[in-house]
Amino acid sequence: MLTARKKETVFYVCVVTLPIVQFLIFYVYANINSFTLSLKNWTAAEGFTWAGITNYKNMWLELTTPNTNLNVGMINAIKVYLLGWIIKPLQLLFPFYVYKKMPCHGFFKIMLFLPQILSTTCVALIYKYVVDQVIPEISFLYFDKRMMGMLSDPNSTFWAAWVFGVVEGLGGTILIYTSAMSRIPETLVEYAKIEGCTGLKEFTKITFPLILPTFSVYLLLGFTSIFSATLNLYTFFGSGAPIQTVGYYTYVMVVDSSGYTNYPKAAAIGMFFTIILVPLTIVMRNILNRLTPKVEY
Amino acid sequence: MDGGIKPIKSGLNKKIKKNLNPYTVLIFTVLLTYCVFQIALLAWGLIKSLHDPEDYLLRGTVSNWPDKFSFINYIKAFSAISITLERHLGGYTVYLAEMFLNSLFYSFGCAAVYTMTSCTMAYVVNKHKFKFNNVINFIFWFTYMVPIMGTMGSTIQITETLGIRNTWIGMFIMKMTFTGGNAFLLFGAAFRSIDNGYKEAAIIDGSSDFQVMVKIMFPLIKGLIFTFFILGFIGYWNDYYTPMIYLQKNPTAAYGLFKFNNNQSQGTNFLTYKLAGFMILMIPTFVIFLFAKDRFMGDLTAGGIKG
Repeated sequence: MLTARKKETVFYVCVVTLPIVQFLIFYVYANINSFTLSLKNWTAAEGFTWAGITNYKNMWLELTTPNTNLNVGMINAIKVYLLGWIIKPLQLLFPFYVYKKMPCHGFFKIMLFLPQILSTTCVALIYKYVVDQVIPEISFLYFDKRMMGMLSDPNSTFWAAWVFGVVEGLGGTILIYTSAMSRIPETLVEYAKIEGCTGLKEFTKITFPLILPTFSVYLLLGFTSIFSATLNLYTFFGSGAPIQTVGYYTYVMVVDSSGYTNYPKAAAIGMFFTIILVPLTIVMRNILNRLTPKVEY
Repeated sequence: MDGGIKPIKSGLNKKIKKNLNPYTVLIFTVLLTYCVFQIALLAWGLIKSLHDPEDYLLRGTVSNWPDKFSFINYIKAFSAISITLERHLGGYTVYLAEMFLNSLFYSFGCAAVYTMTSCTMAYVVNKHKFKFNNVINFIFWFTYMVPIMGTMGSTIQITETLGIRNTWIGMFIMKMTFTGGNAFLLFGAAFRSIDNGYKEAAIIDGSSDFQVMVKIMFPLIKGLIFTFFILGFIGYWNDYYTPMIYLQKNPTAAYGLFKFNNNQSQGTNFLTYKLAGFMILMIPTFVIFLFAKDRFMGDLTAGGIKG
């Protein structure tokens, strides 16, 4: 007869084995394989051959040469991240509006959450039709002014794609922040109200400091995905976008690859940005941990 | 009746006056603009999807208000929207109806596998004391916080080596993970809030560990399991990136519509059909949202047990 502990161990092993094996194959091995891929080249005739650090050299050359895809992609990725800071106050003030149950809060909560439900692909393509066809047509028919579509015009592609990304992503954290805010003790808010702390003052003095730990986690997560941003470019343009981001560039490289030709280059780019980001993430995490007070309520 | 309405009106006015400050007005305006933007996009898509195709082609413009409305696009979409796949002997055309079946299977399967994997892993880590729990927690937090890029080529290569690319089983194996989302965290929080007494009493009564998990613990958090399953279902239903890479031979509706839309040779002739296709794709998730919004908004914000 098996003892209770042994039975428990058998049960435990049965439950965790498959997910752990999956992790070992699709995360650990995938990353090791990606690293070795970055040191190889592939041709249809010869298959994979070792290439040393050639892919890294080529990648560095492309990265440091102005106006190349990778160079532009990196600049745009950083631009998207920095512009994201403009949106941060809204990402906090919208949930605060909902949390304080201000006029139409229920409707706004649903509208902010809606992009998480509806197909981004469909909404993105509708957006593309509107900005690239409907608006230029209205401009010509009613204002006698010819204009290019905002997404098609390379001068405005970035901004048109960015605006769409903001609209789609604005509500992404609404539930998390509203939840964190709703945990703030009512007595504390009431006491602050008696002291004359209402409106924006309540947000800056009470609400924000108390949800700072949640905010810092999302700040860090935003930082870790800095080079993964694609601005929905593949959805808008397929492989032929007039602008680049690192995420989009490497994605297209793999999707459009003839055989495995582009895989080593994409792997080298991925490895390079990972090596850059991991220490920065650790540093940022430590800074955030120091700056974020331990809050219990 | 009149006497009953007046106090409500004055109460509402009082509430509005109380909240009327520059901050409220500013945020209200921004939120309203945001909503108008969203609604305008969807409204244009809906109106054009109902635009009679002959009238649309006759007018030749995309911005005008339709003279004739018709549901014909919604019927025609099922025969007009198609993609051709390369199979052993020549091509094989997949129409929207088959794509929807694929979407249903893909979304249901992936959501079920991911939700149950996260749930069972969160359960054993929080309700069974083993040193290996630390490893599982470390794996979760490491993958959550450490960004690793550019592994897509490597993963494709692995699925091809294992012979599971373009197979349903391969797709589901790839989703058998507890990392890469909040489910493991929230399930963990829910299990931690359940008294261990339930488990101990059941063990004394002769239940196995498996029975405790399935018959006692899972029912206690069935609301949260349902929420994650539905949210997962919606996410996979809308996902075209993954099927495009790993399920090309079984195209889902999201992937099929994306591919059909990107076929430049059609110009805008098929615009009304495409928009009808988009609307058809969005209807199921929108309906689910309407019926379950309170449930999953509540469950996700509470993160706790709901009966």
